[in-house]
Amino acid sequence: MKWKFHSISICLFYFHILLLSVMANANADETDVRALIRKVETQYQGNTSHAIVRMQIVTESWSREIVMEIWSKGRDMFLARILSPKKDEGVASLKIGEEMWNYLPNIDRLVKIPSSMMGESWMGSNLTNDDLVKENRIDMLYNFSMDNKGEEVEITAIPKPEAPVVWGKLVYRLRLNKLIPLYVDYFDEDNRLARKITFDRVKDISGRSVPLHMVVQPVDKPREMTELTYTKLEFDVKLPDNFFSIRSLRRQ
Amino acid sequence: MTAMAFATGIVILTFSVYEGTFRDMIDSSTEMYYGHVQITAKGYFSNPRIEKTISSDLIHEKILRDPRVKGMSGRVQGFALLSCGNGDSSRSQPAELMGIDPKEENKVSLLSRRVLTGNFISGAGTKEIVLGKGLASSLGAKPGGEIVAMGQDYYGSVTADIFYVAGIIDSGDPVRDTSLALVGLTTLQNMLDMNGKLHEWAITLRSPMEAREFAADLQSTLPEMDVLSWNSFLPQLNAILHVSEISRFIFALIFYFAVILVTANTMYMSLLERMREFAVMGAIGLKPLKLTFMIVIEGMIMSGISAFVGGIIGLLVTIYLQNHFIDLSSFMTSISLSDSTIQPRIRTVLAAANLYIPVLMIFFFGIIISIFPAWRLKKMRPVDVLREV
Repeated sequence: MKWKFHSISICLFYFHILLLSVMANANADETDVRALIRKVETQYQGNTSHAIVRMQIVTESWSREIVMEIWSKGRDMFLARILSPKKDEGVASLKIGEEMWNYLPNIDRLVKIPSSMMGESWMGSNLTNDDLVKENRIDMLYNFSMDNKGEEVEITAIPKPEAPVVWGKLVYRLRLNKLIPLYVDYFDEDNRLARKITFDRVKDISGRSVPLHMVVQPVDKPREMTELTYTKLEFDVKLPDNFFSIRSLRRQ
Repeated sequence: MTAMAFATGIVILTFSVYEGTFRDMIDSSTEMYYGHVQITAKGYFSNPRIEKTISSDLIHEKILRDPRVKGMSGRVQGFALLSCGNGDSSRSQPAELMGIDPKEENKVSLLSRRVLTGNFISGAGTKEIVLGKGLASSLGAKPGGEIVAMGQDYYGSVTADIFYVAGIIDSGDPVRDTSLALVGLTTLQNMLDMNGKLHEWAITLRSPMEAREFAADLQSTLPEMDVLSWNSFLPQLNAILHVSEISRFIFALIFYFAVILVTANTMYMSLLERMREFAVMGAIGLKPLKLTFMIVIEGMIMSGISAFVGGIIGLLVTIYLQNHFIDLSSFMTSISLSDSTIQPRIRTVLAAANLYIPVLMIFFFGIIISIFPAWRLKKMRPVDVLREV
């Protein structure tokens, strides 16, 4: 659910800018700033989501489509289950914090994804395991700079020196109105464009503007791509307490 | 003459040791893993993708009938994440799964003889898995333990299966042992949804030096596939071969040069000592040209005997060391060098060229060093010599 986390990070960043401008104002009251921060923190706490996503993967040799059901809670919990095709039905990915597991129904076993495999493709797509695990921490791992481009804004993210990330630079392009992401460019450590993710079909859901369509394009393999389409999306759904657990993976 | 004989023997021995080390390096890669020749889909070796397959009903029988072929084994390869243990003690490690049929594989690679604990795969359809030493240690796996293998199949779907550790091997290459896992061929084909398909045929020949020619012959009959000899898929090893051939030759030249200097001096001295006798022979009618001829023949006989004796010495020591190599494992470990391994031992391999080249070289040099003094003697006048003495 990349778009959602991007929105959160961008929103957080935007509030950060707002905060700075408030603080720069000589009349700023310290209590106002604290209240604002608190509002930001509690706004995203306990936030849950539920979606049905259609993912189409195209490689040089084959093309396939899988439909999966996704749940998330806050920034640390994520569960995806494949609904179709029948061959893959029941295969699931669970993320808790920075750890990740895959569940394989035909042998009823869980496999933990080690850190050395984080760069590997997730479910055969152009997204990696790392994309799911780390990307919600973008605001903590990068330093941001903003550039106004009329109705759009470009935000450049450079990783902090100690940050364990694979990218050398990220460039976000957003529409200022409602902070809708248009695309994100991913650059490798040699500052070469390696991947591009574009967003469109924006819809308002529960007061949030979210793009329901996303295309991941690896630059070095132009004939490959991964396309995600959200056919159902809802926020603040009620989920049982141990929904994101290894045990519940098996029970389903 | 003794010096020349020993020199020849030493050079032959040195060449044979070089050959032995080099064969060790080739064998460590080819006999432990690759085979001497591989048949794959076009471009598979440089860019192995699961979709690049060949059919398993190839002209298998026809190739096996070639007298140069020792064995042929069909294989499937897959990248998978292996998992061992449950819950908090579970450990995962990426590995290269290789599906083999042990009956065929045993004629191609020596992996089955490198089992440290447990056993080798017993059949192509079993759920057994054999792990490289380093891999087993990373996973904390022991014979009898359960391993879950998860990967992507031929069509991109996530696939997995459960295996049981049959044994742990040491292939001789510590780097390879950290990622190598062997399973049954048909089991892996099922897991990867690749029935009837293979990634490679590995072929072992009676002699690794025939590989290049054999591969070229075979390639002409299989234009739609890649037929590669180890010279092609182990280019660094091949480069080492070329460098060692040249350096061997230079070594021989330098060594012989040193020996020739000594020998030439001795030979010259022996001719000078006999000046009086030559002068007498000249005086009683021996033509100068015939004297020269005689001295050259003498040189030829001497170098001929030296070469022969040296050749025998070199040959015998080589044959001995070929079967009783000197074990250096208490002084050093095996060295991994560009995808092959130098074993900690001194071993020789007898190759015709390593025998006849040094022998011919010393024979040739022996003749040369007798020509110059012989030529000088031609200009001698018997009367001058006799007057001196």
